[in-house]
Amino acid sequence: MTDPAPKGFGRIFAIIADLHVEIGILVFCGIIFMGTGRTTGPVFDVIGPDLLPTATAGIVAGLVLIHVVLQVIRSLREPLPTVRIDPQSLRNAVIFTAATLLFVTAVAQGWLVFALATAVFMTVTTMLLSNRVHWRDAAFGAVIGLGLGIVLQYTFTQILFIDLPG
Amino acid sequence: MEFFDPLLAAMAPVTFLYIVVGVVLGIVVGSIPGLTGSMLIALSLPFTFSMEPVHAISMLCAMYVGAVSGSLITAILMRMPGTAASVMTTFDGYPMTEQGKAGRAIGLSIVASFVGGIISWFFLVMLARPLSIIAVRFSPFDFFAMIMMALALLVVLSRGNMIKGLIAGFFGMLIALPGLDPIGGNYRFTYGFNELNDGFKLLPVLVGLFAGNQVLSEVLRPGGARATGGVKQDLKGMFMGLRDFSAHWFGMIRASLIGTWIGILPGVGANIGSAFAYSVAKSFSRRPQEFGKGSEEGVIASEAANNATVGGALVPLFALGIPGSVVDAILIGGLIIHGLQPGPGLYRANPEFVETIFASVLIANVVMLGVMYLATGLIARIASVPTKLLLPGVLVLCVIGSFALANSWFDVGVMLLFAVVGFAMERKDYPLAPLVIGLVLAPIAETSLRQATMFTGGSVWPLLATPVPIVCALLTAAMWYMMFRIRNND
Repeated sequence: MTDPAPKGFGRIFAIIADLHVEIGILVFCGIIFMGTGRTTGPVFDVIGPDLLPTATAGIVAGLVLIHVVLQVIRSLREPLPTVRIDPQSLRNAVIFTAATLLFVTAVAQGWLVFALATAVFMTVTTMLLSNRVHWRDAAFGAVIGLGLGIVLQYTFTQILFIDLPG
Repeated sequence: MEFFDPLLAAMAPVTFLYIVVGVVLGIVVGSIPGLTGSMLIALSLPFTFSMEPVHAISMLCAMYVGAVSGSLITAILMRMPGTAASVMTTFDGYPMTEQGKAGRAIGLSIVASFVGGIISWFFLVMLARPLSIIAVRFSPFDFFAMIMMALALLVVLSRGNMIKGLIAGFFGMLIALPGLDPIGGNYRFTYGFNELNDGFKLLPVLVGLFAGNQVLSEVLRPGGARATGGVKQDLKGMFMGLRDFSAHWFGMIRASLIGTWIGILPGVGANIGSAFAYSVAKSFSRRPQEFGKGSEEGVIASEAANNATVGGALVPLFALGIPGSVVDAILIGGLIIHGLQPGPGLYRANPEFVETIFASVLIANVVMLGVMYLATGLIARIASVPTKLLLPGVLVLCVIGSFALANSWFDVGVMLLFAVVGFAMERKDYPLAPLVIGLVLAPIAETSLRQATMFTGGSVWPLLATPVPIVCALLTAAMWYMMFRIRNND
């Protein structure tokens, strides 16, 4: 879905928002630059531990800036229409992400045992992805989730001898 | 090289069972749109922790063979390639289905896949050992040059904007560098966070980039996660006769050779191999007008080439320790997890292991042939399972697989972070293949360069004046020029 291109400050915000990946990469490069010089290496190591990371960060930052400049010039000349995400898909993604974070937190903090947390998580997400609240989807998700949780718990702890939470 | 000892080792009951399991899982997962072989192999790594290395790597290689093959089922029957490797197959496979020739399309594809796998396996066996012997004499500068060539080739051969490809490749290298300095042994760029002492571990990053990212993509798909629907196709005519062989043998062999060569090129995968072979087949066909409308030559070229890339890609992996494709990058993770150091020394130090893996690849291709012929109908029905039922389970596997590596919730956080990073980057048309290759190769590249400069007292002159780096530079320049011309003509 697309809307007509925004104008004025709206256009500037749209261009900046479109560059979220590039901004993220530049932030990471900045973090690397900040850490330069804090580590020393052996005397016989001519290059040292910082040169390659710093040089790589510099290359990445340079390429990103070139790309950003080209992108901004292109956007100012031929403004790209704003692309809207399907609201239902966005809602699903937000709830799915929240459910995932809650699932991880619940297991990590020991609020629920792994199998039960898996059952709850899969119940919620199966209903979510079905785009309806129906007892059949909930039951299916719960049964599959509980089964998956039990099987994984057993497989990892009893067969692979890897500790799992809960 | 002994032939029968590794073959017997690969046919030992337990090893054979793992190969069969790997092939079947690979075919099933590869056939389901929305799930990929890379995802399956990345998610399977934690399950291999307690396995013997030969069982683990055999199973992972079998998954690789199965996944590349399995994607043809839905490509032909539903016009939905299970993986990118079979995109070209849809162009002619689905029209054949519409013409009532689904069985024939699948039969031709299965045999082409098998022939491609066998021919590339032959080159794997013939080339890997001599190449590893030569590579042992390479200096650290030579390895650094080859790694840079692998990245450069991947960037130019990937689709899309080349600046974005370069950014992805170098960004991947950057991600690999925080943590323990491999030469000095001090921690760098950790800012006091103990969890970062080991850096961003390879497994959670791979699981996040391939599996977690895929889940997010499906959830955010307009209209919700895809539902492929039921398959009601008559699959008669799957078995090829002698007449079919005599009509198509040349095309199969040509596509297999192309796929093998593309697979050997570091960093390039099955989708590029099949696209290239398809283009060549169309160029040399007596009936090019039929391509895109149900040409048997098109189906055969695509499937022979994409399976041939599997064996080809394993050549640089086992001979040089450089992944031939993104999946091979994940296999490198598998080797490391099992205490095996990728590189030319791997073959020299563990010849029985490596040759058994080669034999496993051969057996996997044979098993693939049998499974595909016997179970295509069933697999097509499995592939119709709505993704909404699979995605939550995949995510649970992502979480638990990442946690199991080191009993660390930080790794789960890394996995989730890189799921978002991978999703955001793919939406902005950044290719993930260079990122993964850069991530895997950066530690080797850095160690090689720093060791080399320690020998030379800081001079990098050998990078400019010795044969291997010069050949790498010339090859890279030639490929860049060739692809630049092709892109401009397009």
